[in-house]
Order: sequence, then structure tokens, then C-alpha cells
Amino acid sequence: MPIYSFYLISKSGSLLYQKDFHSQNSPISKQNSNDYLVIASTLHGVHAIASKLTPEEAMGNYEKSRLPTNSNRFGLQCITTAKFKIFIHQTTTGLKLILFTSNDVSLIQATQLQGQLYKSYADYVLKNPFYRLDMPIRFRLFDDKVLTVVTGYNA
Amino acid sequence: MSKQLKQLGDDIWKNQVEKINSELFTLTYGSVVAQLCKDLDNNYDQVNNELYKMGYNIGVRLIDEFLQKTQLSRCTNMHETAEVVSKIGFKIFLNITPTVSHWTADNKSFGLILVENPLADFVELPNTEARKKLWYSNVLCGVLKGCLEMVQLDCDVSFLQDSLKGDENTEIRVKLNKILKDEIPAGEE
Amino acid sequence: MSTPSNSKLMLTGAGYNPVIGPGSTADSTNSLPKQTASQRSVSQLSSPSSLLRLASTSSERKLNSFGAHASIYDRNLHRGMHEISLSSMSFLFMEVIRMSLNGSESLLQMERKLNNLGYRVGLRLLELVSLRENFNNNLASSGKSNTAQRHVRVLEILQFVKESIWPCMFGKEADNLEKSVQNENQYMIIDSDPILSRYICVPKEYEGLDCESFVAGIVEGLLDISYFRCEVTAHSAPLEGYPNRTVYLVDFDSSIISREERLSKK
Repeated sequence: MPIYSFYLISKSGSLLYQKDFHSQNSPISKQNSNDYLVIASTLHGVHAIASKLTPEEAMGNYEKSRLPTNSNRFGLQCITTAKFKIFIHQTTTGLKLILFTSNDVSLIQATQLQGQLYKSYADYVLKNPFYRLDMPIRFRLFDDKVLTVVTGYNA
Repeated sequence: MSKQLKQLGDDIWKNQVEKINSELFTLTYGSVVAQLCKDLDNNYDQVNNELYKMGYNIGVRLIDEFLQKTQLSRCTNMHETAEVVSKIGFKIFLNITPTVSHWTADNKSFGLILVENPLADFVELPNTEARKKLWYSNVLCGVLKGCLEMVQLDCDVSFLQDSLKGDENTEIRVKLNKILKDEIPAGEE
Repeated sequence: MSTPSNSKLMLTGAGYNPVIGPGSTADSTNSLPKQTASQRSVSQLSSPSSLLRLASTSSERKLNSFGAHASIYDRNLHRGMHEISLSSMSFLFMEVIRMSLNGSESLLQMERKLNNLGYRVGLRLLELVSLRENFNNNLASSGKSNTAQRHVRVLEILQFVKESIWPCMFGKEADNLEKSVQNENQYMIIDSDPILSRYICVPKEYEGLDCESFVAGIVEGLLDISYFRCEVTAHSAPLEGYPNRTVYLVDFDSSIISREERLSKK
């Protein structure tokens, strides 16, 4: 159940972080940095549209059920293709954690992994005095942490 | 609800939080305040501002750890917000639980009474202008302001009284101005 | 005892030389808000009986000199340890670094600022920890009223830093204490995983900056006030698995080394 890529997108839709994980037979080909930006802003936009499409009554039900998760209530959660899946998790602050995975990864598994990555972001990015909010993330410690989380899962 | 929140706060504190002795924290904050007083020539209004700014900067970042640990969704009203701030927010970061009190009739403004304040352990303000003007723990207001703003609650947060100044209590006032609807991320409402 | 000028006299009387240490650390203005652990404990250390006296009077002093609530002098220094989240400390430390970054023209100047902020913490931390230890010693050897101990040898004080100060600050001892091979006045305190900089990763533009200068400042402050004049600097020395491993290099003044030799002869 490999993880192919991980994206972080800010509330305003800019790409904060992107990482491909080298796994055998990854169906996802390497893109240039401009393509990554396009993918990020496209997903951001599609997520917003999906949330607009959600009918009012569905929202009412959701509000009643009060699920204990802070995420992505009416936007896009998962895109499935023939070769891979894309999971999108949006936090209450508007940060999006996006995973490209193999087809056999479930929503629950993805959510769990996104939770761990969110924790790494809250620790290794937000507690770093050298990080300026909404800027691309370039910290070795965060890279290491993300890699540890993902390889721990891939293994 | 209040009881459940307290339970949640206690559980998170117990199981998910790495803890340290508060004394280094207290002394470090003291050193920061003293340095600011010195750098700003004992202009306490400016010191208050600076502490508030520091807090704001912390708040807009700290909120993500809060959300990640609590997994809470958006509050439905200010009463819920007040309980969450006190029983979970203060609990899991400072291990104290301020009392929520003094609601205004419009249900938009409340007070947080701090019986304990880890920032101000060992602190006594000199009987000078500092005692009149300095809000020693003003960083807390900034933190609350930043956190609430990140979940689209535009609030005024300030100290009403501080026992360091000889007041009876230490009380922070939180007043909701408006909910920043435009800023709510798509799919969240 | 509540006014800073008094405390200064007291400190001078107790032999503390405020000239030692970074100039900017000497609290020169009278109106700075002060953390008073040091003021209080200096007098208590000099005569342990005053500590008992304070304890016995505390219950009578519900109101302080301002006629308001009991002041910090009335609080028990030995109340249970209050714990907070490491995150709160990490966020505060983040702001400490940003504050030092602000307006600094060089990395050296910034490390200097961090050192100064720590120095002030060190002065107070020493008093707090040694007061508490001595008090506990006194309790343990009930009957003997004066077992207050002061460290006079280099190794003693460094052990004290490693085994008492570190746990108070970070909840663990420092990992190692080493003597420099090249310089007889240099010692090294080593921490493999310094918790303040656990989440910090210095970007390229600030390469060479050591955020742990703050902790170096703490150590320098408490050694200076204990009559071990020195300079302490932090040096990153990463090992596999310990990206933030830090060596705190204690460089003692030559007068300390000659004193040490004198003491050894006795």
C-alpha cells in the first residue's frame, strides 16, 4: 500500500510543500515544479467547487451528527483513478494535506496518516522560528520527519 | 457538555502532551519581559504591545497543534468556545483551567479568571509606573487573539485586572466582534 | 527587600560582582520588573534560620505591604512542581529567537542577545535550585541546622549543573561532561537532544547560528554568580540520529584554574 506523493496547500491555495516518494512501479511520473503548482491550485479549486455542490440538507445532517473530526466536511475527499487515489484532508484552519496513494489505501488509513503528517507540520514547521507563514517549507528536519512517517507506513 | 470537555482536556493532557517543569518557562518569560522593558526604555504601553504581538504570532501557529490534538470541529456558539478555551486550550498548554465567568447579556463577551498563572510565578512588579501600566502576562491575550482569528472568530482580547497589580483577580476579557465568514475555508460551512 | 536597589546592595554585600558577565545583563534600571527568586534566596542562603522564620510568619501575612493579596514571598517555594506542555516552552523559545533576530546585524550579535537573555535566567535558576536542594538536605539531616552547601571546586559545580540544573530545566540530566584535552581551562557539557531546539532547523541564510546560545547563557550566568568566572558558548555537534546534539563549551577564566590548583594542594 505505497504512498506516492505528499502535498501541503495553504488556505489561500499556494503550494507549501511537495514530496514524491520513490517507490517501485509508481504510476505517477515525475513532473516539473510548475506542474506541481498547477496540480495544487487545481485540487484547491476543485475542492471548493465540490463543497459548493453539496446540497443544503446534507449539511444539516452533518451538523447534527457532529463527528469529532476537524476536516473537510463537504469538499472533495478522494479521487480514484485506474492506477492511484488522491486523498484530500482539509483542517479547520484551511490547510490541505494531500496524499497520492495506491488504490488499496482506504479513507481511514489515509486520514490516520494525514493526522500524523499534520502533527509533524504543527511541530517541525510551526515551532520553527525561521518559518514564515504561507511560505514554502524547506527544512531538513521536516523532510526527515515526513519521510519517517511515510516509510513507516509503506514498510 | 462542560464535563465532557473537561474530560477530553484531561485525557489529552495525560496521554498526548510531553510535559516539562514550568520554572524554565517562567524564568524565560521573565527575562523576555525585562529585556523588552529595557529595549523600550520602560515605555510600558509599547511593552504591552510587543508582548501582545509575540502572543499573536504564537497563537496563529499554536492553533494547528490544538486542532490536531483535540480533533474538535468548529464551535457552534461563544459559550462552547469559552469552555473549549478554558478546559482544553489552557489545560493542554499550561495545565491550568481558568474559570469562565461574567458573561454579558448578548452572550458575546466573557471573562477568564486565572487562579494560577505559570507566567507570573516568582514575579512581583516594582512599585513604579510598571505596576500601573504593565500587563505582565499580555502575551496570553495575543495568543488567544491569534488562535481565535485562525478559526475565523474576530475577537478583542485584553486583561481587565491582574493580581500582580494588586487587583483582586487575574481576568482576561474576550469579546466577539464578528465571525469572519469570508475567511472560512471552502467546505467548512 | 522588595526594591531592586536594596537587593543590589545585598548582592554586593554577599560578594556578587555585577561587573562580571555581559554588560547588558547587569540590571541597571531600577524600574525593571524583577523576578525575585534570587533576591529572596540570597538572604536565606546566608542564614538558613531566616528561612524558618519566613515559613513561620507566612501564615500571619495574608496581606502584603500594599494591603492587597499575599505576595509571592508568602508562597511556599516547595509547592508541588507545576508542569506545562513542552509545546508552550517551544513556542516561547521561538519568540525568544525571533526577538534576538530582530535588528541583529550579525549572527554573533544575535547569539550575544540569546546569551544575555539566558544569562538573566541563569542567575535566578541557580538560587532557586540550590535553595531547594539545601532545604531538602536540611530536612534529611534534621537537627543539623546548617548543612547548606556551596560548590567551590570546578568539577563539583559542573556536576551540579549536569545533575541538578539540567533536570530542573529539561527533566533529564545532561548526557556527558568532558574535560578538554587541549585546554586545561575548558570543559564541555554535552546534550544529545536539547529539547529547546528539538523542532528547530536553521536555514541556509543563518548557517552557523546556534540557538542553544540561550542555554549557554543560562550556564554562564549561574557559573558567574557562583564565582566561577567563565564564558560559555554553544556548538552544534550532530551525530547520526541526533541532529541537534550540542556541546556547551565552558571556558573558565585563568583565575579559576589557579584557584583550583591552590585548592588541590591543601
